[in-house]
Order: sequence, then C-alpha cells, then structure tokens
Amino acid sequence: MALIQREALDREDPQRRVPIAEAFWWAEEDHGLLGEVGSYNTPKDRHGEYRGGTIGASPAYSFTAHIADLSVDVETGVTTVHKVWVAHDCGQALSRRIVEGQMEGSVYMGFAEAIMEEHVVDPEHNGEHTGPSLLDYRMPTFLDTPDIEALIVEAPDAQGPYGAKEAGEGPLHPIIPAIANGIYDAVGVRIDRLPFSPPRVLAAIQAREAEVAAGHVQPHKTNARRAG
Amino acid sequence: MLRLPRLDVLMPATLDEAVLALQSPGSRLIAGGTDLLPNLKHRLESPTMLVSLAGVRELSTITVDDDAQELVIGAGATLTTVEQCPQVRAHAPSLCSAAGLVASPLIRNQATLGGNVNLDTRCRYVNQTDFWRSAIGGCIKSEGTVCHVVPGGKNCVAAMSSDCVPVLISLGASLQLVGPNGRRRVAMKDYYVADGTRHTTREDGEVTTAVIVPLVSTPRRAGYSKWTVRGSIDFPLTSVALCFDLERDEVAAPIAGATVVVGVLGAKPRVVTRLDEVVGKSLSDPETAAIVAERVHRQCKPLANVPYEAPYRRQMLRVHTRRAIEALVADG
Repeated sequence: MALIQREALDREDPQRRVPIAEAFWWAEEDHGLLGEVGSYNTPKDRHGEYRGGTIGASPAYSFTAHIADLSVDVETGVTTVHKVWVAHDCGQALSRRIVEGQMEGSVYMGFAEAIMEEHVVDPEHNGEHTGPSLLDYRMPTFLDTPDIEALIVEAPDAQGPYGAKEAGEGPLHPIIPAIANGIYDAVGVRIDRLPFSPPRVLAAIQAREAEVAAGHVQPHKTNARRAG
Repeated sequence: MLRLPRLDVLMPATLDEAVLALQSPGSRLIAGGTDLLPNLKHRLESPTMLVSLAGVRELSTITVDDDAQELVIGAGATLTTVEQCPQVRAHAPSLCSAAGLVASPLIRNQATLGGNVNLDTRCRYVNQTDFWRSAIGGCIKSEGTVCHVVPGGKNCVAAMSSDCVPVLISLGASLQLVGPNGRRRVAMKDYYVADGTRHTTREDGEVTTAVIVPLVSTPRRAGYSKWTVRGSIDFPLTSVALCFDLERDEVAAPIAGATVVVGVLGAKPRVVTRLDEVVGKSLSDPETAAIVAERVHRQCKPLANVPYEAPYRRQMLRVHTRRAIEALVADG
C-alpha cells in the first residue's frame, strides 16, 4: 500500500484507492490505536553544578543570529522595526513548520520586550502594577510587528534526539541586542534598559545632541541627514 | 474573568420610548456598549437597567440638509459607517480620519458616534478593576476622595479620550439632545466641562440624537493627529485636530481662519487660542506650522492621567502638530 496525495492506494492495483483518513479508520478498527510511545531524556550532569544546571537542558547549545532593519525617529524617539531575519541552528529540524513557528514566535516576543512590554510597579501607589490589563500592558498588534524571515540552519548533533538541538528560547535572545545595535547604528545612542520606549530613546538622543553641542562627542553619521 | 453585574435590559423601538424609560431611577443608556460594558465590569457605574438604543432605527441615518447647510449624522451611526460614508468624507474628511483611528476595527463596527462624543473620561487610576482600585482606596471619580494624578487636587482631571470630539469641535459641530423637556441643540465647544466626574452638560434623562456639522462653501483643509504606542486598539496619548479656512483652494493660499483643538489633557478638550498670528499667512509657509505648534505646546499641559510621561507627551504635541500641518500641505 502507498500513501500518495491524501489517498491510500494498492500498489499492485492502483485503481483501488480510498482517502487516507478512511484507510486509517479501517486500520484502527482492526488493530486499535496506530501509535507508538517513546521518550527522550537529556544526558545527566551535562551542565555542572551552577544554578539552573539541573533543568535537563539540551545536550548541545543552539545558535541563533538576528538581523534587524529599523529606523529611529529622532524627533519622537519612536523605533520602527521593519524586518527581522532570524537564522537558527536547531540541529536536525524534526518539523520545519514547527521550528519556523518557534522562531517567528521568539522574534515577536523578544521584539515586544524590546519595544513596548514592561512590568512597572508604582511605589507611590502601594506597589500597584501599572499595566494590569491587556489594554495597559501593551503587546504589539499585527500592525506593529515587523516582517519576519525564518532561516533554519541544520547542523545535527549526535547527542540529540534524531540530531535535534532545540528551538525553544534560543531563537529569542539575539533580537534585543540586534535592535539595540540597530538603534546605535541609526542614531548613535546605546540604550541599556528595556524597553526601548520613545521617551527613553528620545532622552538619549537629546542627551547626545547636548554632548555634541558642547564639543564632547562627534556628531553621529546620520545626524547630518536630520529633517528640519 | 470580569463579569457584568446583574441588570435588566430594555429595548425600546422609538426614541420617545427610550426617553421615557430613562426616567425610571437606576436606568442608564447603552448604544454600542464598547465604553460602558468594560466600565460596568470594572464596577465604575451601577445601573440597574440598561436602555438599549439598538432597536431605535431613526438614529442611524446620515443626511445632508441643503437648506440648513448641515451634515446631520445620527448618533447611532457606527464609527465604521462614519469613517466610510461618502457624504462625511466629502464634507468632513478629518472626521473620517478620526473615526477610523478609534480603537480597533471590531470596536468601530460596534461603537457609535453618539457614544464616542459621550465617551466617559479616562484615567490610569480609574479604568482598572475594583480590586486594583481598592489597593489605593479609589479616587474622586471612583470610591475615594483623593486624586492620584494631582496630589491634593479637589477636581477630577480624568482625560477626555475621544478621537472624534476634538475634530468635531474644530469643525464647529453641535449636538442634538432629546430629553423629557424636549429637544435642544448645544455647540460642542460648550458641551464639555472641566470636571472628570461629569464632563458633559448632558442631563441624565437626555439622549444624544445627532451630531450636526455645518457645511462650508469656502476652501478648507482639516486634519487629525493621534499618537499612541501601538498601531491599533489604544486610546490616544496625544490628540490634535486642526482646521484651516483658506482664501483660495490651494495650500499656498493665505489662511482666513484657524481652529486647533487638543484632547487627552484634562476632562475638557482645549481650544487653542491666539492663532490670529497665522491668519493671512500661507498654510504652506513653514513658519505657520512652527507658530501653531508653539501655541499648542505652550497652552497644552498633559497630565499623568494616561500612560507615558506627561513631559514627553507635551514635547510630542509640538512635533505632531507641526507634522499634521506638513501632512495637510503635502496632500495639497
């Protein structure tokens, strides 16, 4: 029997064919659930004694690189991320679609953390959280989210299940420094606190402008192009 | 999960029935409900009966009254309808822009213009769950007696957060209200008062039935600028409506009259004064944009009643005002 184009067909007599789903129903009626149970455990003591070292991490680290294309509005401090390319070495990709989904989700979550999400408690009001709802705790909408291009890099690891490493948190990490570097490249300021919110970026730009005016630092390359 | 309190709903078919129903104690008007229902879930109001306008068909028409030279928009028209209506686009394009920037498409399909002009004022210390508010003991607008925005303040400064209101005031619009004592008409610039706990002069038993925008035969350029952090969903953090009457139908023409209205300050939208200086100047003259932006910056002082630092928002008023005028000039 062969499974081709959503149909199960008889190899000897290809005219005998039924939809795949029906073939599986017949098989499960005769043999019970068609399934196999298996498991994979990470090697023990792989990561030593440090805090968090016992979580059963993947035997091999994954590797990720991000490129962020962005612009910074020097009058408002608004950072607009246009596109992110994410290349992730997940070892052998067991399901390319799921790996890509993990990578895109990671970029979205990291981008959100970089640009707008923020947990703030207000010490002047009994430590109340200032963003206790999804209106005041802002997460990016479709309109705010950059285009994302996920590029899977497969370098299988012999220790991992079928050669896989991981595609969980790894693809998230580089997006924050990528955006921070992009802001530095665009306007010459280093922001070392999250999020890179418009007031914070604008304050850094204005502080740098004051330094330039005082002759302490050179004008940044793009300042010459600033709109009037 | 936040639940609605238990209450009755009445669905009158005519305006007269609605006005009558509103006279019973504990009753409260509901149209689209996009502002009211979250406020009820937050226990900011406690009506026992909602009088729904959903069945009152006479409220959703949009007409041009040629004799009176007025665009009459029924208060029940949804914001999506207002945004897409060819008559509104022809006579009040800046209103289309503002209506199209409110919240999200799903909310605009439900929310009405009458509801938007009566949108309750908002504050970061008010529009939260009652549980959240209980940790700070409430405030003047909810269960308490103090103001968390202006320490020691006796007056509620919750922000007028409607996108349409500044635009409508800039266009010289009025509201038609119907109540037990008949109908009355009020200019929108006089409708709002500087008290966040009750920021309109609407009586409890009155229903807003229409928004009336005067038609102009002279050349005009009008626009609306809204800044929020996200591209959708959010209430405005800065909000500026501009309207310039011109001597000829081109942006290089001298300005005959200028109106600028700013929202999201306190409970009352601010009509910017001393704009006479730009009358006679060309709209496309960069000095015009600079003067108007300076007036807005000087006269408008955002408060810590909505997210994002007030000094930052004040700086941004200058930038966004200037850019809004530049956009009008670029559009020709």
